[in-house]
Amino acid sequence: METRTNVIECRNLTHYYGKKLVYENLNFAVGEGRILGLLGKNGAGKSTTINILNGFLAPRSGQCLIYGEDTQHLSPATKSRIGYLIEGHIQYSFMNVHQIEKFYSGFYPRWDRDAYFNLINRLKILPRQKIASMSCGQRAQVALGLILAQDPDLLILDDFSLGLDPGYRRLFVDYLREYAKSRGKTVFLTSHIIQDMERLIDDILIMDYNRVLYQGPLSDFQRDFKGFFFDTDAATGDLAGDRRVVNLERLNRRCELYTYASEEEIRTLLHDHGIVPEGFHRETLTLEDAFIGLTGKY
Amino acid sequence: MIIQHLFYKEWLKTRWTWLAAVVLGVAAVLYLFLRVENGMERFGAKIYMLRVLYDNPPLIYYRMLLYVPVLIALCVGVTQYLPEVSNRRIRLTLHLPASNTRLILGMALYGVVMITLANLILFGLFVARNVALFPAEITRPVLQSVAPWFVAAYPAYNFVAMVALEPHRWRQLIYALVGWFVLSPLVVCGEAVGSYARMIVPLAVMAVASFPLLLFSSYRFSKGL
Repeated sequence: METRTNVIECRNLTHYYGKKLVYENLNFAVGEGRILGLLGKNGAGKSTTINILNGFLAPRSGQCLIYGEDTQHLSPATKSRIGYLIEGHIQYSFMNVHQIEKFYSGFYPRWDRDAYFNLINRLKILPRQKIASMSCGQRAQVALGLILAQDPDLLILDDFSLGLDPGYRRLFVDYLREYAKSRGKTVFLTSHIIQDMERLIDDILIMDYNRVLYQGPLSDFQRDFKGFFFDTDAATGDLAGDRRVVNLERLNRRCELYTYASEEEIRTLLHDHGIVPEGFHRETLTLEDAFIGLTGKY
Repeated sequence: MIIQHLFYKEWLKTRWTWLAAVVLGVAAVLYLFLRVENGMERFGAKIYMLRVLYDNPPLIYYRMLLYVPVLIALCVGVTQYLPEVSNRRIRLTLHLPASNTRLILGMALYGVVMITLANLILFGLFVARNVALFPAEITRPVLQSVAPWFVAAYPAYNFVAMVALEPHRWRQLIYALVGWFVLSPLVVCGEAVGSYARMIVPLAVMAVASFPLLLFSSYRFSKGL
């Protein structure tokens, strides 16, 4: 049996902003060589988790470990194994592409200059152009190039797709996936653009306010989580209380029922509630559909 | 190696502002002595020196230098820390493979080095021009009066760093007010040559004592407090 060591382990993580609970007793782990996507609505705690992982926020209680070290006290050696992309591809905007490469190269023993310039040379930028005057897509490529040159074992990417047009997003995702898989890198990432995740991640962690809604392999989630659609005039309010119904959205006669249960169980459930569904069918859900089905539209 | 690269980043941020501030400082010193030379030509060197020593109030020809070193320190501090705190970019620095304390002290050390360089240039020029125009009886007390203004640059820089790195707005305001109310009474120009020379002691103490405070701000920043 294959055993994987965990690169990231968060145990009983609890955090509040003032009196507002962000989450309580959050537990998750990321195995070596896996790509985990953290999904959640705005305010669900994605950036909080990223900040705790990078040691920029002390949780109220609980602990996060990266390579066995508490993230509040990461050693320089462990820091050098972590590539960090800040939301919005923030970098030192007063530098140009050569200056920033020169700056970072002094900090990382495995610095791969060619990896950086292979990516940068694709950009249509002037050699002395400041990062501040680049487009969002160009800045994203610079930030990604720096991470690739660092050659980290773990990549933490906070909302990597923010501000990128579809072409740059696709380039970023494909480049990242190929890089991570070919070199056995571990990736922990968040994104608002969920369809990007589908091409990229192995595992998924879906958070809602104060709780984890799903945690596991993406393939299992996409296999097990289902959406059934039907029309009815009957009242459906009672269904929402059934443990088999994860979420029920209704607009006039149109109902969307999201569940981990089988089609047979749902048909029985509707029958038991005296609901005669019209046009009952299951639809194949994209990850975005499933995410909205799980978390609700608002 | 790490400090060299850290200095490189700081240099890229501050070089033009630092250079412009030093050039303006040099211009201020040269202008100040241009006026001295002009005064000596008009009244004669002996009369001019008597006015410096015995006029009521005496002629404090070096008064315009009062805030120059502090302003240079503020320029260095602002250009160094503003890009770091905008978009909380300092996370990039704190993520570098070195201890947070070492990284912050490295940045602060750069600031101290650049302020010292500026001070050496300006103070050196001031001493050289002063020695060329005045006898030792005037030069010595004048330098004693002026020296605290140069020392004041260090605590001023520390307060700028502390304010910039502090994550909470109201604490920033408090630190800024404390810095202003503690520093401003110590940076003074007396009405006699050689006055307030003893200010150098509390200012030096403050320079040393305020240095660790920026570590406190950066610690608060890094822990999201």
